[in-house]
Amino acid sequence: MIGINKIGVYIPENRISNLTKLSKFETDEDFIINKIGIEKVSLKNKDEDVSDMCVKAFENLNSKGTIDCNIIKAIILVTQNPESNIPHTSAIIHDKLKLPSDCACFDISLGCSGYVYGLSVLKSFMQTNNIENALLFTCDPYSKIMDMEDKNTSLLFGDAASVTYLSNKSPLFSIEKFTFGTIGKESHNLTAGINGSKLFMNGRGIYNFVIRNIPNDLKKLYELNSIKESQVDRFLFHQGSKYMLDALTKRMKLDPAKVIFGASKYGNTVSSSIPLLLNEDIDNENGSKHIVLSGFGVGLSWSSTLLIKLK
Amino acid sequence: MEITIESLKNELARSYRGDLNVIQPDTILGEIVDSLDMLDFYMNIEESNNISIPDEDIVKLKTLNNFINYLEKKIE
Repeated sequence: MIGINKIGVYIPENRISNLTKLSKFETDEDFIINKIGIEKVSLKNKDEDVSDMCVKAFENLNSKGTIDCNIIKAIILVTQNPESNIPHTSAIIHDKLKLPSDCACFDISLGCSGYVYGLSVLKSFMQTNNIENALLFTCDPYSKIMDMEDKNTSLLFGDAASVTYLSNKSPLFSIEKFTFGTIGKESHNLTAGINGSKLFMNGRGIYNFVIRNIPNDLKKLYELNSIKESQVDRFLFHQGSKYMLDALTKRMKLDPAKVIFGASKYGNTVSSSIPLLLNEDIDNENGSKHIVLSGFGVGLSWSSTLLIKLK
Repeated sequence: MEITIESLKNELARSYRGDLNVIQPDTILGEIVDSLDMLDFYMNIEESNNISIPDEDIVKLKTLNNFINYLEKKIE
């Protein structure tokens, strides 16, 4: 059975405190800490790019138990801010990690829903091609495309990278069935790079999309996986903002203790937001058996799945 | 359901935790209610009245009276 074995992460040390921007953006500490929930955003070094950050995430993974790179036969990188269009950035990572020549590498262009989509794609790829060990990277440093004068985005997004080791050898979590969705006609609510433009986000469009679609999506997820909501021990939603998660929790009448907001010290790290949280869950061994992952955002798109702890 | 100042304040109370008494019919809502609670307010009004309010209209709705006038025309 292919499942999640372990996770490595990299969050740059640099932080920008949102509390230094109160007068600039005409806001107050209560709004930053208790509503948005993001006190600091992480910022990559100027000389770092996606492959460097992914290598650092791999080094963190390796520190938890050395991985023989020769057994890795597939890597996927989820990013929408690659180092180049050609070559794909996963090929650059392949070089830096000295992976074997029979290793498949490709990038997936997705944002906040990307980690969950990536799990599905990689698991399927492994099953179809009898691959036993593979890596799923996420790294989407929005500092490359953000306008730091834009209140809507610069208070939210931080830089980070993650790598998830998928294996059929003693996985920690099984990966169950998935839900997916896209509302392309709403894609204009979160854009970047159109005619060279910086990141643009319509907060109202995103909020409405999430609150109106995710609750029904999770009902579908429970049915697909023959599970009751009460059996879910933990909900790892994409860490858009504390307000978003509080609204979802309230609307779905979830137990707030099961809904984690962990991004206060580094921000919304796009496709890395869920694996950063999952990494903490794995490391803490807190006993969560059934974990729902739900990513939503760019596209506008979403994907959700259920993980079950095996040991 | 008739749209009144009271019914709108009830919708606002679903997210805004401040003192609703300070909000008068012509109070500029954005000066009292933060932008995130306003998002929830807009959504609650849309759902309660089964309508969709486009962004270009939302930006003009600054007071409870603005909302009443708009919603009365929209629901007709």
